[in-house]
Amino acid sequence: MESKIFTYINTSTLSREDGSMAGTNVAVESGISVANWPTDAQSPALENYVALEDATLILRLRNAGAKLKGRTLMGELGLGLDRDTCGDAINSGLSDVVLKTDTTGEARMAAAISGCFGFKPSYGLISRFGLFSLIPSMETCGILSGSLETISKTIHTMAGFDERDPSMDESGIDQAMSQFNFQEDFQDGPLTVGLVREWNTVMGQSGNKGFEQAVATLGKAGVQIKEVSIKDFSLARTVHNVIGTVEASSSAGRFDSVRYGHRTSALVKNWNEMYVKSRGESFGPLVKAYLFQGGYFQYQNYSAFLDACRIRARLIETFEKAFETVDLIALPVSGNYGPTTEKPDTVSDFYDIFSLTLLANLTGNPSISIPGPVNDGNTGPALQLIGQRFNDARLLALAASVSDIYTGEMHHEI
Amino acid sequence: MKYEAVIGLEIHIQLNSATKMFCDCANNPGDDPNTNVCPVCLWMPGALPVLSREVLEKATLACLSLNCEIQGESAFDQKVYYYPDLPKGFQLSQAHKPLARQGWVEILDEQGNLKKLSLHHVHMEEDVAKLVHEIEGRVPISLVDFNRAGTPLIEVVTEPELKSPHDAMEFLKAIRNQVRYTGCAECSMESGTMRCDANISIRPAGSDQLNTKVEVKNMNSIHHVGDAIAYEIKRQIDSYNNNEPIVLHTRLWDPEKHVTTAMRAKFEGPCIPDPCVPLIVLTDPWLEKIKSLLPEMPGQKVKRFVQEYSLIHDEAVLMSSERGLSEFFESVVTLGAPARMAAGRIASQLLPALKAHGQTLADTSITPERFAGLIQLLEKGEINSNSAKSVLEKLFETDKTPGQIVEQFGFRQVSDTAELAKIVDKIISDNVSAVTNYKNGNKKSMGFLVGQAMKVSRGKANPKVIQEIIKELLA
Repeated sequence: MESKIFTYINTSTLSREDGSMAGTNVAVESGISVANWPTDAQSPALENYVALEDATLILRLRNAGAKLKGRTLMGELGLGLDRDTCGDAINSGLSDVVLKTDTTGEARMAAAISGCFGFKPSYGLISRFGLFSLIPSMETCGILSGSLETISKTIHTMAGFDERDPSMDESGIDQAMSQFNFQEDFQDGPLTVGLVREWNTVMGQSGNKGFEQAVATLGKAGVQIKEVSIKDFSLARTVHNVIGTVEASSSAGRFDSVRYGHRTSALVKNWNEMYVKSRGESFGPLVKAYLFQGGYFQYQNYSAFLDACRIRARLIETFEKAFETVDLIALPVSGNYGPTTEKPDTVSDFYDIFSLTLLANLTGNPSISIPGPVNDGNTGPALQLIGQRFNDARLLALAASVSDIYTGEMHHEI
Repeated sequence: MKYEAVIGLEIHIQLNSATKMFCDCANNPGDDPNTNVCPVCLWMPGALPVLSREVLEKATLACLSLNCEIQGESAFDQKVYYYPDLPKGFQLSQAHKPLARQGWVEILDEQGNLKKLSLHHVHMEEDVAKLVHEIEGRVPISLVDFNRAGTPLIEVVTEPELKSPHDAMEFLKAIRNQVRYTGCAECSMESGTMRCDANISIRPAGSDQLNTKVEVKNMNSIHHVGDAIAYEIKRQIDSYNNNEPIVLHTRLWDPEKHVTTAMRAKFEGPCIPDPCVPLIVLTDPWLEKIKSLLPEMPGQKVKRFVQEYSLIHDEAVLMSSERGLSEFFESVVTLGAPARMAAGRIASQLLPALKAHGQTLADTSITPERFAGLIQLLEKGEINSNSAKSVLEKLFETDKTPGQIVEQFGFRQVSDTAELAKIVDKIISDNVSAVTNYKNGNKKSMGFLVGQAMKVSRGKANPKVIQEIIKELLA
C-alpha cells in the first residue's frame, strides 16, 4: 500500500526530537524541493531531477523536528489531481500532514475528496523558494491534515520572511505571525459568514442543495448569514484561465531538455527540433493544452491578458471590501459539473472542477476546505471558507468553530 | 530625389556591479566558463530572482547622468523567446515600465554647433548566456557559458532623431563619457561592455514620415557604427532608386568586407509582466541619496574649469573628458601648479608618456604631487622645457621627487649670464654666415643660433637668457 501512495520513501530516521513539529510525519509532493530527493513534479520534463537544496519551508519544518516521510503522487507540474495520492497518505495514517502546491485549488479539492482538512495559506506568508508550480503569482504551499491544530502548527512553523523569495509581504507577515502567537480571542460577537450573491452563476443551473443546507445549519447554530456581492465573481474562472496559462507558458520555458529532464532520442536536425520533440514527448495532454492557451494569449491576444489583470485587481478590491462586513466567506469546494475524480483532458474540464476554489488563488486570500457538511455528490461532503488575507490563524480558529457545529461538538451559540 | 536618413540607436551598457542582477554570483563574465553560476542564474526550478540593490543604484545613477526622468514605479517583464543562450525561455527586461524615461545628451554636429539629442527611455535588462561553437572531431557542437547569464545591463533607446553617421558616433561618445563619469560602467565597445544596434530608415529629405527600418548589429567599435550606418544608408537609397522594397529585418555588419548582410527577420516576441520580481517603488529620499552620489558631470566641469582656472574652452573639454583625468588635473592645480601650464603639460607630455609606458592615471606612479612638483620647477625656471621631458621620464624609472632627480642628474637650468655669455661668444664666432643673415634682417637665424647654444650647454641653458645676450651682442 505504501508503495502505491508514495513514489519515494525516506529511509533516513534522522530528525530532531525537541521541536514544535517533533513526531509529526510530513509527506511532500514532488513539486516541492527536498534536498537530495527526487523532485520531478510528476513530469518527464523533470525526469530524474534531484533537488539541490531544501525549499525554505522544508528547512523550517526540518529544524522544528518534522519527520519527512516521502513523496506522494501529484498531477503533472501541479496542475489538477490526476493520479494524486495525498489524501490517501492522510487516510492511511501514514502521514499526519501532506504538503501540496495549491495554485487553482488542488490541495483543498484533494482534502475534500478524501475527507480531511485542506488549507491554502495567504499568498506571501510562506516562502515560495523551492516550489515548482507553473503559476508563480498564485503559488502557495497547501496543507492537508486530519487536524486543524496540526495545520495551524505547520503553517506557523513554515511562515515568515525569507530573503530568497521576493514576493514575501513583510507587513502582512508581521500581522499574520502576531495572530499565531496570541490566538485566543478571535471572535467577540456573533460570527458573520458571507454568502456570495453570485455564487451559483458558476455552478450550472441546479444550484447546490447540500451547500444550502449547510448554510442553513450554520444559521440555526446562531451564525449570522449575510449576502455579499462580488461583482466579477462569474469572471474569476476566465481570469484565472488567462493569467494562469500565460504564466505557465513562461514558467515552463525552462524545461528545455538540456540541463535536466527527458531529451528526445529521435534524430534531430537542429536545436529547435530537439526542443520541440523533447517537450512534445514530455508534457501530458492537459499541460500541453494549458501551455498552448498561454502561448495564444502571449503572442496573439495580449489585450485579453491585460483585461484579466485589471479584473483580478478589481476582484481583490471587492473581496477586501466584502470582509469589512463579514468574518468569512463560504462557498462549496466543488462546482456542479460531474465527478471530480475523472481526469480532465481539456483546460475547460480542468476549470469545471476548480471553478470555486480558484478565487482564493486569484486574490491571495487564505482558504480552507472542511469536511462534513456539504454533500454534493462530487467530492466528499466539504465546505470552503475564505478568510481575510494574512488572517490565517483567525481563519483556522473560526474554521474550528464552524467544524464543531457540524460535528455536533458545540451546541451552544458561538 | 534627395533622401535623408532617420537613425535610432539601442545601446546596451554592462554595469560593473559586484554581483549579477538577481543573484549573488560574481559579475565577471570573463572568468573560466561556468564558474560564476548558481541555481538562480542557471534558472533551475524553484529558484527565484531577487533584484540586487547595488544594480538598481548603479542603473539609476547611469540614468541620472543621461538627464533622464527616473520613474517612481518600474517593473520587470518577461521578454519571451527561445534560444540556447536563454534556457529559461524569457529574458527579464523592462518593456512596459522602464526605470527612466526621456533624457538627453549634447553633441557637436558636423558644423561644430551644439545639438541636443533626446532619449526615449532607459531600462534595466539581464544579459543572456554566451554560446561557444566548436568542432569536436568532425561534429559541430555548441557550448553554453552561463557566466554572463543574469549580469546587469541598461539599455539606452534614443528617439529616431539622429541624421548621420557623424551624429551616431558623437552620440555614442557622449553616452560613453557621461556614463563612465559615474563609475558605474566601463562602456567599451571593443571589450563588449557597450554594444550598439542601429535602426535605420530613409525618407525624402524634409519629409516627416517614418519608413520601414532595418536593424544593424555586430559593430565592435564606434567607428564601425559610423561605417555600418553610412553603408546601410547608401544601400537603402540604392534600393529605393532601383524600386526594390525595404523590408523589416536584421542585418549584420561585416567589419572585414565593410558591408551589412541580411541575418534574419526582425523578431518581436511577447513581453508579459514578470510575476516574481516585485514592482520597484523608488521613494524621494532614496532618489535624493542617489542624486547626491552623482559626480560633477563634464558639461558643468568644463564651465567651471574655464571660470575658475581660466582654461580656454578646448583645454577645459580635454581636461574634463574623463573623470580620472579631471580629478588628476585638479589635484595638480590645487598643489600649486599654474592651471594652463598644467593642462598643456598633461595633454602634450604626460598622457603620451603614460601611453608609451602602457600605464593609466589610475595605476601609474606619477602622482599629482610628483607631477605638480615637476610643473613648479619648470614655472620657477629651475629647469627648462627640454629638461622637464627628461625629468618626467626619470619619474617613471625611480620613486624620487622631481627636485631630487634634477639635482642627481644635473638638469638644473643655467641662467647665469656670465657663464652663458662665454657660450654665446663661441657660437657667434663659429657661425659667421648666420650672424650676417641675422644682421641683414633674417629673424629665423636667431632660432638657429639659440639652438646651437643650447646644444653646447647640453640642453641646460636658459633659452630666454641666451636670446637676450645674442640680441645685445648683435645689436
